[in-house]
Amino acid sequence: MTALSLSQVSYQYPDTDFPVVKDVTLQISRGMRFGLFGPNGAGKTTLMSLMTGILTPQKGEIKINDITPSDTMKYRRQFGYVPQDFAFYPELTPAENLEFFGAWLGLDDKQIKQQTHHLLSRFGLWDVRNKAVSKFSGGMKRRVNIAIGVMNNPSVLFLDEPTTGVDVQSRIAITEFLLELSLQGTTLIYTSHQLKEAEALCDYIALIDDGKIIACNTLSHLLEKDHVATLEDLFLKLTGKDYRD
Amino acid sequence: MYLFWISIKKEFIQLSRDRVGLLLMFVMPVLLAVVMTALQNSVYRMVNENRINMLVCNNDTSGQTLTFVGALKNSGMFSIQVAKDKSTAETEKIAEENDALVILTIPQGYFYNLQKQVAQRSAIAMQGFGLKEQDSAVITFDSMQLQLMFNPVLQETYRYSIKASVNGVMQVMQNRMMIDQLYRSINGEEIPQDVAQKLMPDAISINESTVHAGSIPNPNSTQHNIPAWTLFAMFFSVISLGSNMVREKVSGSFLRLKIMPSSLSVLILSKQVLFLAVTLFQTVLIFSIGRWVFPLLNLPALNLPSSYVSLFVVSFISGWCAISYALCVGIIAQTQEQANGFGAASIIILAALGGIFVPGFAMPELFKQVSYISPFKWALDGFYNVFLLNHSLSKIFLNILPLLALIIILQIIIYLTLKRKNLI
Repeated sequence: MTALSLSQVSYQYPDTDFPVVKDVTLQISRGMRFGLFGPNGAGKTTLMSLMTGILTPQKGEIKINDITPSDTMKYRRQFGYVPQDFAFYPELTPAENLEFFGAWLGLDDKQIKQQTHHLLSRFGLWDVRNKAVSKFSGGMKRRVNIAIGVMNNPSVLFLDEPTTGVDVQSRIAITEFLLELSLQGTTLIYTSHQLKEAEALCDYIALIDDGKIIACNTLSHLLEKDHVATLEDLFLKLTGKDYRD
Repeated sequence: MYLFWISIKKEFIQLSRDRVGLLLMFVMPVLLAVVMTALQNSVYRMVNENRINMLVCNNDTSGQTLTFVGALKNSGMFSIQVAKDKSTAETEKIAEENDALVILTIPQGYFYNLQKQVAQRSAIAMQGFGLKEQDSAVITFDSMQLQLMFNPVLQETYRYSIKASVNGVMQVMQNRMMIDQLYRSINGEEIPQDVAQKLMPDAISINESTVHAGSIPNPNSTQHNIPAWTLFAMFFSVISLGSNMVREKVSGSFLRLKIMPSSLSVLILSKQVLFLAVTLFQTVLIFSIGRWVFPLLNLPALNLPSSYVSLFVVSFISGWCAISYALCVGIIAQTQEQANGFGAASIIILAALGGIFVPGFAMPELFKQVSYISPFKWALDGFYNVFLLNHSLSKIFLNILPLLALIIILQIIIYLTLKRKNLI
């Protein structure tokens, strides 16, 4: 079963000469832990923005669970999104943030209460549920950010560098949580520069450079094919060592 | 509806925890209203209520000087102190000690001389009426005059007023003396008091009222400052609401909400509803302070208008205009510094032009014309019309029409900017 499909997707920003995403085609199966990697400026963020509907491709088609972005509200209900930024309200408590975003995700009062209790307990934030998030550590804020992204039990979850700036304990807790979600059938679309973490989390890898997918397969297959030991070696072999920004 | 209320709740929580924003929206305008009213009130009182200190240097010994000084006191314009038989140097010293702005010197024998002049004029009148034979005696008038010395700080208009007042009192006295003299000449006896009263009524009564048509009367300090600083408070929500918008954009929450299965217009609407409620609360708070707290501070109480509907409509439209402006600034600004800096500076400039700091009637002519570009001016005129002229809703329509037009323009800018930034 395909959870997410991209067919010949291209995108060019206004006032630029070349497209940043060029004819990208991907098929991501349900329950897959899909890692999207590439150097800075390769087109990862743009591709993620296209998949989440922030941007609209000039060419090609994107579907999540066979629903296209033109069916706006239905499309948006299919996925969750965990941005790299702390995209929530620091003046509010974690419980208040989850209540607000839960309502925006279309949940009713009862569902919000259940999910808030479940997620705050799961992320070790229940005891501080009534404390303003602005007073939290970086790791706690990261966990709040992820909790908001999974409030509606999405079938596809987009994660943009979800563990940036967290300590080992928080990183392990987040990784374990994501693996748990995957076992329950959630498809993970993950981007990061933490390639060691990606090796532990992702079972399918795509490398993007200059707007094109240059490699896409299971991690073991790619490592074997290119005769390298780690994802980092593969990354450097395919994208080179030159600065990209 | 659930989403709307949750959004209002979130805005309310954010606002209630924004201490700086609350200080700027509530405490600062209240303090400004109190301080500015107190300062302007002293000026208004000096102009309208304070009596001018006058030192009367009396060198005349007749009893009529007492009548004259009494009449000057009764004019209500002067606070009078009398110095008798002093030299010029002594008079000036006393004037300085008593902050006297005017010295009125009555020369020695002034009223005796005046009485003589009155007797001569009376004789002429009697001859004219044919009640007395022609007298061949030459009539001469001594040129004895009252002398007024003004403190140089007194403006020309004050000097005219003082001269007119002294002249008025002197005219009344001369008339009375003339009537007394004529009566004595005709009847050979003193005029009875009741006859004199009938011939010389105490004062000519003049009805005073305010011109309404086409112009707004000058307000007192409270009637100006309470609506003025309420408007300032409303528009200063740009600091809280503008920053709030910028934070949401910069943190990525706006983008996160954009890809959620709900419409962002709910968020924009909830912000407007909550902050509009805040502006109405500001109005109630500041107006209440003007009505009930100002008298305790020895300041004039705010007189509430008869039409509460008109008051509500002007407050509502002014508040909505302020909120639309704040949202517009918040959406266009890229950073909090831009929103706060531009927001605060633009509000202060528009407030100054619109007559918040200095009432419009006290502005130079050029600035009076320029003030029409400021929404503060339109809103303030609306409040003036409600407070000072008790205008009904239909009559304040012309005041709120430009505000409504501005609201529509600002809302269109908000929509187009959100669209251009790919946020809706």
